[in-house]
Amino acid sequence: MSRPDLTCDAAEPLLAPWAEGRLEAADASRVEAHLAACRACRDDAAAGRAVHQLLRDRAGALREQAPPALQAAVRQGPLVAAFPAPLRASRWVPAAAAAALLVAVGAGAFAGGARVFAAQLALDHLKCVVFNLSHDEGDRQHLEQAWQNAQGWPVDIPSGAAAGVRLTALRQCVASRGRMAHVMYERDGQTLSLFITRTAQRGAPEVEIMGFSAATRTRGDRTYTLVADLPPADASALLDRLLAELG
Amino acid sequence: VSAEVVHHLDALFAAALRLTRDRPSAEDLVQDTCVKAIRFAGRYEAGSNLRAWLFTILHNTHRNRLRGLGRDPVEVDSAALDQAAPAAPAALAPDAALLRDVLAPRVQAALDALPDVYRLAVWLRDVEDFSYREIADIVSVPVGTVMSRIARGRRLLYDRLADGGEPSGRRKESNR
Repeated sequence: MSRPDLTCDAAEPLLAPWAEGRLEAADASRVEAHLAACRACRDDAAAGRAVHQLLRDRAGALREQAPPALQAAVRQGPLVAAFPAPLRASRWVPAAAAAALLVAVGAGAFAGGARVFAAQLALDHLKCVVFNLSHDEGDRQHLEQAWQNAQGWPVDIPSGAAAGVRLTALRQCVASRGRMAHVMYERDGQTLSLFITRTAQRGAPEVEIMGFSAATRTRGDRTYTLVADLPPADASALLDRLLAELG
Repeated sequence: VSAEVVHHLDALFAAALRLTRDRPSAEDLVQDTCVKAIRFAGRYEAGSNLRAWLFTILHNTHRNRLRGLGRDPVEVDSAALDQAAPAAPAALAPDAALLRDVLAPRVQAALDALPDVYRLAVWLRDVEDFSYREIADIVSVPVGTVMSRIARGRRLLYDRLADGGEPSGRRKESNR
């Protein structure tokens, strides 16, 4: 009772739990003393209580269901099967380390170093394989034209014939907003991803990440990164054969 | 983790929709979240709060995307925004009865019109029922900031819903 009266600034955060009836008695009476004296905060408090109640009542209707295709992809478990074998076994480590790693990985394809870039590409590769995301299919000329039409800049896509892989698809990834072409190939039932960006990435030629290998080559103002479930040297050799085709 | 993720899929998608306000982007964001969750399942501490962990991944992924696209989320998230307050006292005291018949689509539209930080805080608290502490961890800000955002977000929402028009804002003053 000897504590000083609340200011508006001090009262504001307390209005949230107050509106839910969750403040302890001592705090509640301090807030209410302030509300009795302050019209602006009294209005905020009343508005907060009304909105909290409204949102609670409408929560079910407000929460839209996930699309069926997304549900199915997660439910049927191809998500786990798509990961390289060594990763499927769980290793339990503290959650704090997880948070740090997530930040590092999330830091993005366009922000940081080679490992982070490769990690983002490995995730994109997995995502496209797991969720069988929408993509264009067709031969090399068709895909190059589709990309040019949609994104307004040209890509040279290796057909894969000389490297012993089959060109299957081109995806225009949502998250990269057209800054990166995702070309997919197939070999022995396995999907390989070739990412083409129109910037010269600072890149290590080979990175092992998440059980995948990411091989990167820069040619002119294009950077090519191959992500595959292969030993690093094999991924690099395969990328070199793909690029040899482009002359 | 992979078997559990599916139970949180609707909640993740609904939150992703509020974050992106666009279905294809929301779907993509949830896909990224699921892939990361399973990739990093080994880092999840068994028995701890999986739901909050998944929402943390969702939020971080979204924030990093904004960064990648050249929008600086720090700007959006800044303390300056938290302290900014429009002036002009409302003519009438808020009345809960005014909101009684408001239906979900209008609530959703009003939510989507809120600044990002308020929309997310109010959504996580009032729709998803996360605790203030959990929300603070998910969005990486202090608990007091979360509480202020929720209080202010609800107020902004009330103003949009009560007359369907412009928010009246609030008078900002300190009585000492």
